[in-house]
Amino acid sequence: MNPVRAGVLAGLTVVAALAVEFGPLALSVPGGLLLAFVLPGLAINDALFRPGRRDIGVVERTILVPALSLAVLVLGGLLLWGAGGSLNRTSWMLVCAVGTLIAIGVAVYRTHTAATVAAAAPAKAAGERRTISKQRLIRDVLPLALAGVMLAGVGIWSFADSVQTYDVGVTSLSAAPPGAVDPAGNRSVQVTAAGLSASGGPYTMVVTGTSGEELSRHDITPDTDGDWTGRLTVPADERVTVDLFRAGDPTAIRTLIIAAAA
Amino acid sequence: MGDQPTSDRKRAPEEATAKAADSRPDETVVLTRLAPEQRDGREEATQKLAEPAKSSGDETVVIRPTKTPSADDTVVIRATGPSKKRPAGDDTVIIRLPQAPKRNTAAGAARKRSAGDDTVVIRLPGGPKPKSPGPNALSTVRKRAAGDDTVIIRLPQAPKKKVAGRVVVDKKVAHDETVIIRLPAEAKPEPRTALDFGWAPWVIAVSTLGVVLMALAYAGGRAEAPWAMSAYWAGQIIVFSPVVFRLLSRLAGVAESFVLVMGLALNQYMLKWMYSPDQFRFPDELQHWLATTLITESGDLFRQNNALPPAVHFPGLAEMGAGLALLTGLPVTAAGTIVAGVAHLIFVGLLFATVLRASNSPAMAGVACVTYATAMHYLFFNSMFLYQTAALPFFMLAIWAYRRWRTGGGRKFFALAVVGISMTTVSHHVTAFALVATLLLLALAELALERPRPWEALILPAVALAVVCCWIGFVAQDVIAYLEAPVERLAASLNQMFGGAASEEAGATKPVPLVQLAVQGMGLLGLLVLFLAVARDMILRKDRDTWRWAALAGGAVFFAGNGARFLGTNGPEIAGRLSTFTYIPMSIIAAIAIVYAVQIIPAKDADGRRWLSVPPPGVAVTTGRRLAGQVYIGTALITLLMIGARTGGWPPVSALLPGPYLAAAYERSVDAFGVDAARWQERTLPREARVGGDITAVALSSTYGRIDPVREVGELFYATSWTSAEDERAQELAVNYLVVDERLGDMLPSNDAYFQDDPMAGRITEPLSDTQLGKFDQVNSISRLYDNGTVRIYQMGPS
Repeated sequence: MNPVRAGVLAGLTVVAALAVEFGPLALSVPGGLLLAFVLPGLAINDALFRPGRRDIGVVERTILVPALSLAVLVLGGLLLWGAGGSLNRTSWMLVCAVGTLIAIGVAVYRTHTAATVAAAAPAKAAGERRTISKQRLIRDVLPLALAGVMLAGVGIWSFADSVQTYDVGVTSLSAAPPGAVDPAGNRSVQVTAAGLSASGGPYTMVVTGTSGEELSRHDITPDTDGDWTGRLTVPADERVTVDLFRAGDPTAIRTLIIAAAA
Repeated sequence: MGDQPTSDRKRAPEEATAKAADSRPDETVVLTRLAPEQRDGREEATQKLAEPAKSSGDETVVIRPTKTPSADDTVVIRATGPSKKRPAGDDTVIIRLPQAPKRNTAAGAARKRSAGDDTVVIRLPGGPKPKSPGPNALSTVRKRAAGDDTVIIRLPQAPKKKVAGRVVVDKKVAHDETVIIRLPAEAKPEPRTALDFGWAPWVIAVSTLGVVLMALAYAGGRAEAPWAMSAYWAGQIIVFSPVVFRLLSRLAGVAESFVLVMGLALNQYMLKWMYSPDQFRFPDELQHWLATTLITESGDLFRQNNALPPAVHFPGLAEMGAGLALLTGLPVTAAGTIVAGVAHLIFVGLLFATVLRASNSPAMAGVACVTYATAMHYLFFNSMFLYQTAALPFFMLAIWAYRRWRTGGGRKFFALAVVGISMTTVSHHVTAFALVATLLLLALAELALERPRPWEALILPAVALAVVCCWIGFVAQDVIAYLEAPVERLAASLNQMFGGAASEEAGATKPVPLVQLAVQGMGLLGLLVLFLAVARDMILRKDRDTWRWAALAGGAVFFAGNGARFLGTNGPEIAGRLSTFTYIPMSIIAAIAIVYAVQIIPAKDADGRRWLSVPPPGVAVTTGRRLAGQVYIGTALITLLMIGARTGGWPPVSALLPGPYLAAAYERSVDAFGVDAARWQERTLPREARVGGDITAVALSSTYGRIDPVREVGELFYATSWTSAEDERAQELAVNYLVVDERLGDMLPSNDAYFQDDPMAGRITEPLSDTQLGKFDQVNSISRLYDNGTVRIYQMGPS
């Protein structure tokens, strides 16, 4: 690895690490993707296979980059956890960044120790400089860009379609498991109604006892999110039914049953 | 794999002569190439064959090697005699050495080639009698040059430039019919020159149109549009077949093949993702979503995961997902989707790289990859956010590195193989076992075929075995108990099939639709024919390529594993999961057969033997109409396999499209009502609460709900009244809560069972009744604590 490449890679690593640690989502996403899938593998590749050597092909080198990066993430995480560390954003950032910098160091060291390879590398790099011709632009870039745009487009559309399809409002009535019986022989129950639509209101909650007699009646006024919660006191020795009624609807839309205490 | 079987179907008389000559190695043109490791990028071997002496009266070109400078791989074939006019489309080149028996010109009629027959037979080293595997021998793993097997000769055309990774006519001199066949000077997987993507970008663009069509199909499915299924199949074929067609044309170089394969993999991953792009819905994905979330929340590994306890000790995937989620700040679902996609692409890329290294044929590598894409679980299971998805790329990494290490790559490849083994081991148990078995198979094949026996080949399998045993022995002991259940089920099914034992699952298997069975059967039959053809070819030519034999053995295991699909209700699933591994060698075998046009029905030899006739050594270079026919047939076969995989794989046919709720249909059963109920559990119930329900309820409760699932609650649901027996059963199961989905009373289960370990599996003829589902409301000791109109949650026993 020549010094310029090493410097660029190291600089990129530091920038990505900073973006991950301190940046907003717009920066932490590319930074995190680089640290997770690209930079460690790239550096290890260069450390293992010196430029100028042809013991590995472009396909293999390309595939090894994300594979080795993931290996750093996983094995580095295991080692860190085994050493008593906690796996959070900072520690994983350090695992990837430090792993990358170490690999860059090894690559630079190996290049320095192999003088002939180091001498040959700049010439090769110069020889491999490529330009994108107009013909190639049309032949390769255009269709690939087209494919990319199509994939992105259908991806976004498909996502939106799925969200829209499954985004169904759910109206629920629930109770937390009843608490202990108080000295008066009652129990306190936290009841919650969620997903109430303003247009369906006002809502009424009716509590009835074992024999069907009405124990209490409550008007429900949901908040802006359509939720309501309140604490009911019910007799512990009765099997209580809690019905939720929509305005003008004689049938309960949701029902809870609280069994009598043991 | 560079020593290919040859097709001599419809052999022309001239070729028949060539075949006779082929029996004598010294009468065959041998195009030699050096291994990439031996060249090390600095040497290029040139073998120039010249000084022709033309036979009279025909077009036989006599070639005599004149010099062998070691600088190039160019082979010059020169015909100085009077040029005889060929029939239109007749591009046959017969290469005969001077020692070859002279053709009987009297047999003129017999010698006349039929128009359109463009076969050129060139023999590569590694024929039936490899005496000493020299540096150029293709028949041994370590010393074989991984040469490009695609040879394209365009006689009448203008000189063309060498394209990466393939052989073309470099120059043709009009006056003396000199044809210079330039072999790849470097038997390397990539070209030195600028990457030539060929037609790949356009083919991928066309394939992407299929993705668009699939998106429409999925949207139509969600809206229950009647045209959605037609769009689905059209989309699948448009995504898949153009890539297959291009790869089978054998015109694609390394870069083009690689782009095609990766583009197809990406497009197919899009098909998986678009099925449910907003959230994970498959239960196993949800289980791993939870495992990943636990790491992001706690910073700890090996945290208890009630949804899938064994996954706790294989944290590879969860680490990847959690690491990416934490590094990027993305939600776990988004991070998991990216991780699964990248892992899937790495796997395909490494499969390509491995086959490319083994064959040095981009056509072989490409066709093997697209054939593998027809594996039953390739599209969904193997690209889902599951721990196997994380393990598969490293499985292939280990195989690839093993190959490179055994072919003289050195210690760095050994180290990479160890990394691959380690990653596989910490990611997925079954994949780790498969890796040990595969490495052992490769090593044993080498030991069996090579002399002196390379005992060092056993080192890596031993390392893999040691790593796997250590991990299971010290970290993941519970995996043994976990794997016992499917093994016992399989054994019971085998016992039922071969031992005549009565099955408790009698009648539990829903008959597979005839069309589906026919498509799958035809595909399997096609593969079997190819497998047998390659096996016959290898046996008769006394092939000694260790990797090819290993692939053949793996292919045999594939067919044996396919038998498992007939073993009870879990048969198809077991067969599909097995095929994840066994289909790799089968794909390679299929690629050998298709790319090299192995004889399916061999011609009779001089003794009148057909099936025992020794195949002609060398490479069949097919052009013209025969090639076109092979491309069409090959494309049709692989497309048929793909269709069979879609109908027999995952999701099941009834749920190929996303859509409204279906009972017990996994992805199709996850909707807002179930998720809301699970979220309530997560907010309200203690983590140690044990909750039972149908398949979907348990999956959601144990993941989004984060409670302890109880799966065997079918009896409690099927009872028409709550008696002391149900009470006892509930206590026995220690179930605290039951999730009851009213829709179980509206429809039959899509998958033969409402519950895991369903006592009525396969025998359910009508949905659960109102009495069965409503009895819980009549029991004094049971509370209904949650109701969203569709899903109810009951607390068992007084609180």
